[in-house]
Amino acid sequence: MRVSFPYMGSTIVYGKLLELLGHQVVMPEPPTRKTVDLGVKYSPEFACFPFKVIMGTYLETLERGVELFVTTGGQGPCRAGFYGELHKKIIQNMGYDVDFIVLDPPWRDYEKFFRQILTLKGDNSWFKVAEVIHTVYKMCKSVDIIEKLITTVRAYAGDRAALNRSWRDILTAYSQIETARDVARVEEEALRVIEKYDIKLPPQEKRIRIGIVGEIYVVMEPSINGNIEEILNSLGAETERSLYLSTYIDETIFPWIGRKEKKKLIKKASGYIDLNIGGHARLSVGQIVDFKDRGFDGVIHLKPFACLPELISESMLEKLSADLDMPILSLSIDEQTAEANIMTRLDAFVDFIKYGKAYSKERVSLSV
Amino acid sequence: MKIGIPRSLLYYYYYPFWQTLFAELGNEVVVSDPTSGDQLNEGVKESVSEICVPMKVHIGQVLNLLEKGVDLIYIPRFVSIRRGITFCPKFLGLPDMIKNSIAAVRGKILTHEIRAKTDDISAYKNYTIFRDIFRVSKGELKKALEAARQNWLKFRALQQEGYKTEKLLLGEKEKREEGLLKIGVLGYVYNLYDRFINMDFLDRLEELGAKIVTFEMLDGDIVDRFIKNLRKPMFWEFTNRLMAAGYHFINSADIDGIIHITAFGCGPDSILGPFLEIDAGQKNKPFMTLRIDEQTGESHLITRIEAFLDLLKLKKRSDIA
Amino acid sequence: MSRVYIGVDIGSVSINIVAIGEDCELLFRLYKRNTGQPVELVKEGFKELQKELGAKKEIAGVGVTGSGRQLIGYVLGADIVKNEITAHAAATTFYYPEVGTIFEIGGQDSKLIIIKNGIPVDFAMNTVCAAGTGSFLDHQAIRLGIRIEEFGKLALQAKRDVRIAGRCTVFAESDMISKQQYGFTKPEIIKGLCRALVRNYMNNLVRGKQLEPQYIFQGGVAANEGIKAAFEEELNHEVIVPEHHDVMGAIGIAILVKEEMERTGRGTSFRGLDFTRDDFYTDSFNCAGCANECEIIRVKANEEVIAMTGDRCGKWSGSILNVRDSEEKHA
Repeated sequence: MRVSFPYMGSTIVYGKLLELLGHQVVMPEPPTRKTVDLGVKYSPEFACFPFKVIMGTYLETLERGVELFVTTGGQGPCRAGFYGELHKKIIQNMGYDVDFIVLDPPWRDYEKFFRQILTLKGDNSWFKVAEVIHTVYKMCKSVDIIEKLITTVRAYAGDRAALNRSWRDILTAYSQIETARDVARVEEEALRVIEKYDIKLPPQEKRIRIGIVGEIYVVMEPSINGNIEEILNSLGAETERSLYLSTYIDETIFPWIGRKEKKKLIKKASGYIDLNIGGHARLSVGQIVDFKDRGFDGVIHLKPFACLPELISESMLEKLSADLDMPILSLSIDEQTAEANIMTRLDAFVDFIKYGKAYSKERVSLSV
Repeated sequence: MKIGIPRSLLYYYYYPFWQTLFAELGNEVVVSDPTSGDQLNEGVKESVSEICVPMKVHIGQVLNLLEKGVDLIYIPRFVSIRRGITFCPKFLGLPDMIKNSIAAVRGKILTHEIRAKTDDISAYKNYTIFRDIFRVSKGELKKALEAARQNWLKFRALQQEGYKTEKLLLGEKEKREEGLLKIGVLGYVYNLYDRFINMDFLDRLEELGAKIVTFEMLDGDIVDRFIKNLRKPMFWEFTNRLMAAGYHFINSADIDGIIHITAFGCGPDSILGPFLEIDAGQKNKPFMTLRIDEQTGESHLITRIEAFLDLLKLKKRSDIA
Repeated sequence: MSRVYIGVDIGSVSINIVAIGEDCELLFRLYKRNTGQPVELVKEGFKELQKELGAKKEIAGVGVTGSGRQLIGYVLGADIVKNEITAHAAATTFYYPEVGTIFEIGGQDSKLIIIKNGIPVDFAMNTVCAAGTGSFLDHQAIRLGIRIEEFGKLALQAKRDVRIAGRCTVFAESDMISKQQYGFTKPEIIKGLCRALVRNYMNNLVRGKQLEPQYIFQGGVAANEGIKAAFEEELNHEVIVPEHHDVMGAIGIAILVKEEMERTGRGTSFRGLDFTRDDFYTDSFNCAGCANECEIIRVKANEEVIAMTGDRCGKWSGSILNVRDSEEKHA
């Protein structure tokens, strides 16, 4: 059976899992302008941006003969938990003959969950399944380490284009791994490659570090958020996100692993958001406080236009920024987003942070 | 104490409960003024621009209550009134949003979580903080809750008998008009009964000869059974109710057409809408979505309603012929 | 020979060029409507500049700002290319060290900049809606059949207040027509429109932010007395419109480039005044390097590629030096 799945930052995870379980995987391509246009055309006008983009990638991969889409549902109350069902409804109504497996958290319906898992497990032994999950998990952890390194050193790289090319090659190497040992080998190689660029970090007080928080899809997916990390790096700022591949796996497959970290963030969000209101809104607020505690200079809050949970966190950014004495920039992303407008804001944001830093030390220098 | 209740969101479903409860506890109950252009404008200024209109209305109502000089503004956090089903994230985070975005309101919010198994929200356990705030004994609080419950049940019963919600809330009794066409109207209470926001949409429908049926007028069992039988119900309480009512309308031969009235920026409706629209289409049931926001033009709305009703009349004639 | 620094602001509605001297004194200023051919307009602008300044000046630095800054930055070989928010802040804090709030309203967008102790600390910018910008007024002026230059003065003649629903250009228009039909005069309608614009600005940009004086109002729309009056009414405080309100972005970027050149001591990368004789040409191609298929925009000067942009990965924009080489390989 030809299997595919929605495109988002975690494609490599889905792809690897299914491939190592022996399915014939149709890898979705990163969304382009064309994908977005296609998705917008067939989505309800007021669905959020991730819905539309995923719709676009579904329709594009369908042209390559997909018989089954695997995706995750969710327990809400964010809308995304219902997207699988709605995509299915619309795509089948368009006349496509394709099946969907929407993996919901097992406690909603054990029987259904188990049946779905059996379909995906195929003829593999449970031992093999465990091994595959282990390998993929290791891979994610490793990719995350390298990515964090890249978004740090890229702020100071002389030849950013070359560094980007190396980073792409590294990701390709990761996508070809088959065992846990491969992961270790690729990681060593990646570190060696980055080492060669011989990038020196400036002294601590001169570094500008910006945290990126918000809705998972726009935070994780560079082709959707306009490569925001790379742009910030090119403006001389290091970046770190609130969400990485392994966070995502921790949440969907091993909820107990991230529990301690989650607890810490919930505590930091208390007084702002006191209940899980869906998506990552409460954790986003906790992350903003956490970035401040870790000495970051500013935070960018990203959300798809009109995202339900993140609207609540956005409503308190003004207060958070004042309480924490840290600049926070909120950006909404959808098909109408003008790149020039985002670019201007990011540029000004980094400038303002530089002013702030210069001001607290010595005489103000307007030149940056 | 003077307790302020914003005339927005679930006011249109629970006001008889709240009014009795606070009065029984010895308070003066103040309801904010009906929504107006200026009030909404103030709300817009203090809200995140992308948030839905009902939330902007709510913030305007809260600001209006501040002007009226109330001691506390009641903003409960509705978490669940049905097993496994919750509310839209904006409802869940409502008190957090209000207190962290409007400085003047801090310290003046009366909030607590409401978790219940049904829409009867009178269980004592949700209200324990009231004992300290209003200095009452457990017995007194329980008695007040029971009185509130009785009053609210009476209100619900009258709704199901076909009395107009908008009148009942004002203490008046008036039955829904009869009409040639029976229209299923799907919409959240705060969109259906805020006359400013929907520009007297219900009256206009009735003037044009429609008999209106809304979800609160349906027998509770119809809704409950429908939701129970769903493999994956929606996450949001009132969206499920609209879905239940929607499918009931689609499958009822005596309903001539369905109007879904939805507010700009409503997330749950962006999911619900397509489901109903696709299935209504397959069952050949006329379906229209009316979107309202702070800038909807009145003439635009009337034109659409008139055209839809004309279409239904023509259909009815040709169906009979 | 004394040094001058050039600031260029490429906005969607106007193109502004200024020259400042070593004490930041304004030596030249030019405001031109952007007719859609920025390169030609900039060439003409520089010819005028050359004529006016004469040969005794040495151009020691060039900075470009505004929404079209990228392309013109390449064409001029600019020393710095910066966003207009930073540029506006730089100019205003130079002229008004006590400034607390900057309102900047241009043709296509509007901005709010908050300054504390001479340091810009916060900003906001309109995103999608045009109802808070100059084009909103242009549009309504045409509808009312009056010249935009007269717009502001007329507003001050209004005897009564009338409220125009101005959340959106389309709705403002229909509301305006109906108010006219009710018999309100043109000045009254115009005053209503000015207040609607300021209301939009307050709703979309200011929202809950605390504003402090001095209030400086700049950008193309600042010439409109009606808007200035509406701001003053809204804030209940004096609002200052700088003399050079329409070229503040260009002045700001000139100040920034001057400081940059003085601080680093490097020489300018400006292509030289001869650039006005060069042929600039832009084309594009789709990169086949990956599935993104980015549209790469290529800027050429006399057939020589001077810049590439539009790629998401930096393959082209990051490596102009390897252009010809990689073009053969990938294109």
